[in-house]
Amino acid sequence: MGWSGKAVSVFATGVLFLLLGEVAEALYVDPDQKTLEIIGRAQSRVSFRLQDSEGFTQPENVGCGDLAQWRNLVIVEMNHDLGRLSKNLGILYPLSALNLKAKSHVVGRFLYEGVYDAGPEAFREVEREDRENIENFKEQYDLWEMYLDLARGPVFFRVGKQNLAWGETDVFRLLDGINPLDNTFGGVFEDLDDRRIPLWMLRGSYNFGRVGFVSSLAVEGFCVPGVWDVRVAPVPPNRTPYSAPQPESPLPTVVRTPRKTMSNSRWGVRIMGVVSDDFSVSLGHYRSYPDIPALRLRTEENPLEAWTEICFPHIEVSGGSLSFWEQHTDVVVRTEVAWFWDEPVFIPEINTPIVPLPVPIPGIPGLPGKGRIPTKDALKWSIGLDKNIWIRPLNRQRTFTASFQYFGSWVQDYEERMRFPLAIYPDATNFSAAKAFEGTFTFLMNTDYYGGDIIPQMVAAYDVRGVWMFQPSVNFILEPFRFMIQYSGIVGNMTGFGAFRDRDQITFSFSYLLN
Amino acid sequence: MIRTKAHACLVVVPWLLVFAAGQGRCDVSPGDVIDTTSWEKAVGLLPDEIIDWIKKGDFVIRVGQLEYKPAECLPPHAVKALEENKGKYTLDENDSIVEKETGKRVEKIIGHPFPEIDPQDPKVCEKIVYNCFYTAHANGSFIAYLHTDYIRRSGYERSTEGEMHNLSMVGNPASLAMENPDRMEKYTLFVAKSPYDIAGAAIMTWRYLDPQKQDNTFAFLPAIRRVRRMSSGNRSDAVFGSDAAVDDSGGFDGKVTSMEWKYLRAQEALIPFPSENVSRLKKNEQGGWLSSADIDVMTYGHEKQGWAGAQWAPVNMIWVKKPVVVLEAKAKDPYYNYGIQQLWVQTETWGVVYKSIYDKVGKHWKTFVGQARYFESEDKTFHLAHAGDQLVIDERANHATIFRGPMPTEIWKYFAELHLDDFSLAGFQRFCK
Repeated sequence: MGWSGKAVSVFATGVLFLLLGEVAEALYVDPDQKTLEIIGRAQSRVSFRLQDSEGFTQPENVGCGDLAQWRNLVIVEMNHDLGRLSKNLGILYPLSALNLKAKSHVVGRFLYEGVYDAGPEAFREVEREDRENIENFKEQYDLWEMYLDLARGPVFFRVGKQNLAWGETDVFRLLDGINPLDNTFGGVFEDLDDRRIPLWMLRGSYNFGRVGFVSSLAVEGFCVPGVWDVRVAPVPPNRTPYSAPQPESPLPTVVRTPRKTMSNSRWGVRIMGVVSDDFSVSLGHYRSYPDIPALRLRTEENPLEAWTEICFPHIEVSGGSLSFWEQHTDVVVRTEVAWFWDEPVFIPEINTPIVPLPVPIPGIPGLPGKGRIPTKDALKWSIGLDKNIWIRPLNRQRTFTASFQYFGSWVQDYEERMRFPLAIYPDATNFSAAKAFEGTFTFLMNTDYYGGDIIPQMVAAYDVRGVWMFQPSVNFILEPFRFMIQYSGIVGNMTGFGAFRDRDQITFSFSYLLN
Repeated sequence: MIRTKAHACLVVVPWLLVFAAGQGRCDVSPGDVIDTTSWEKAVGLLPDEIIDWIKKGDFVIRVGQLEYKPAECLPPHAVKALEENKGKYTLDENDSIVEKETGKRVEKIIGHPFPEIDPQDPKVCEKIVYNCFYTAHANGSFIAYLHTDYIRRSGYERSTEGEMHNLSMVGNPASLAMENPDRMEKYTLFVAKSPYDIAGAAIMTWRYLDPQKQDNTFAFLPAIRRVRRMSSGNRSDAVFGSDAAVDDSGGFDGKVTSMEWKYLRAQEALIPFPSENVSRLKKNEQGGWLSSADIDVMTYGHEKQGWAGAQWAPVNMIWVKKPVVVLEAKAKDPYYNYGIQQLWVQTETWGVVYKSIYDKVGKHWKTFVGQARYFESEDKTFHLAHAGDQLVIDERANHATIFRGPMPTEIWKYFAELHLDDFSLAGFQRFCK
């Protein structure tokens, strides 16, 4: 099917939604009982570059005004309370016999990224040169989420393909690194939740209730058995619109993902509760994989047979969170601290060593050596403040929601040689320096007008190394449609999210909701 | 002599004025239709802004008569408590309910704690507000399917749907059997069902019995996929883009101690009812009670062909003259978005029927109109009173929100079997994606 065929199929699905969703209500298969509900949305999202590619960004010939994203998404969600069915359907008899409350949740996701068909020639060429990879990348038809909830008294289990988020932070993840993130389609400009990849997981909790001065004390655990699911954050194919800027490498790149074995399982446990009726506290430990893969040079006996390996070593994280509402200032305070054990770092001399030639040859610094992945323990923390503020000259009807966060990190046994694996143009061997202490601030503010129909929002982030990101947007609601205009821009140094400083874009999004 | 005449004038003139005012107010009778031509009949029986809306043609009111007595339509234990609780309880200096004789705090009360109200009592307003809370608690825990319509002056705008679970820890026989280690008055959990962009958003509130202790509020937002602590102080901001603030639920859902109260008067008022008859209740397998599918559905202007009034105006309710008390509330929080609020509370079964909301400079801003629904079992042995449709009109924004009560497809469950575990931090996650 050509690109026009895909577009037609997306359009046809949209029309189907329109026909199904004439009423502005959730679609219940059994409206009298409301046990089986179907909802969904169809969305088309178009982004145009506002800058020419620069530095090591590829393809080089993508310029201001070019299409960078045409993401068409259809999501259909079904929620089914099995309580009634378990009494009437023999196969579900054990549920009623054991007095288990059961619910199922299924989400189908259909995705078509049109930039490789309708975008600038540079992206079409990327597809022509890497057809199989890009075909898989641009069209996805998934059973995105599918899980079964089982509950009885204080016990709760959720089994199936799901997302799980711990901790208190938005935007950057400390205790929340359980599910991998898909940064391939919109990079740092996309909402965190749109980027989460559900995993096949077994999750459970037990509520102890009040124990001493702790109310709602509970223990929660999860396990993603390695034989079920070892997916990690996908690496954007080279030269796709949101791939990190990298110089052309003479060496091939091999992405090594974890093998499906039990030893590669993700797991974690935490306890949580409300202390003295005021402080929400959690303490936990989990094992997962990093969002940003590790990098090293690999060679066989012959140093000329070398390649760059991108891999995903385990990470283990221990930490806790504390949040509370401070009533005198009416501020919600959110804090989180996490110790990352043996987090992979990038030290060019160790990850990508170059062995000097016995006889110097001009223009050739040396031969690739055998790289390894050094690790360091790191402490990361965050403090967030949320407050609803009246700014009556701007909005007499509604408050502004303001959210401020500070993220800090400190590397134990820091080495001056540590770098971010981002080469600074034009020297392919000059990498952005990593510091012992790093810090980032984020800020979000929004409100709504006309009974919630117009929602302006401002998001900003500042990396203390000298990078700003701004993302103002306006959402419009005209039931059952949603429209959004969003500007995304980055200015500053080539560090952290500054790597994407030549990707400023304007986005138009149109959604139809099957309410 | 002149002094005597002047004195006589001072005594007589006010009486003449009162008499004249009484003569000027034309009373209403069942069958009357109050519209642009006859609005004078309802002056004093409705908040001033509603009279203005009738004058303008936004509202037309049909005066009716009930075929039942609301005071007899409470659950049996609450009817019994109207006698048993007389003079039994009072409030201490913290506004906690205490036994009158011993001064000890009481945590398990059945029915309304203050069946008798004395306007001279310095805490009369607080007691009235407690009675309103206990009207809901008398019905046990409940599950409500909430359908909300957003209406502009030009017509229907959109709807949202959600599900509310309310676990009452006081006020009904089931609550006596429950342990209450956290000393709660109630737990409330709301999950948005549609439209898709808010579906899955959930809010859980823990309301403590201690009137001085603020609520704990937790929210799950699908966009961040986790339970997040929320401000419990932001109670006067609109929720989910509606015209109502958190505190407007049921007329008033704040802490009694959050307001400075003033008793204004007792009077008669025209208050809205769904119809002349009670609604039917059906018992379910678990021993709870369900609203029925053949319930009267309220119709609003935007749903009636040819309607020339406001699109949010109720068009098939009946309005019946009933006793009310009018209270004035002013928030102690200086950042509270409302100025003065006047609550009209019906005193037969205790519930807020109107709330006139003024801004900080004293100009009228919003009005809450609350309808009570009375239910009866088929064998007429069991009754209950609960909120019906609630309407919040923002006059300044020319916008209104209608919170629908039970409907044929929105069957509400009273005396529902809810578990404490569902309202814990871990249990809350069962309702989240």
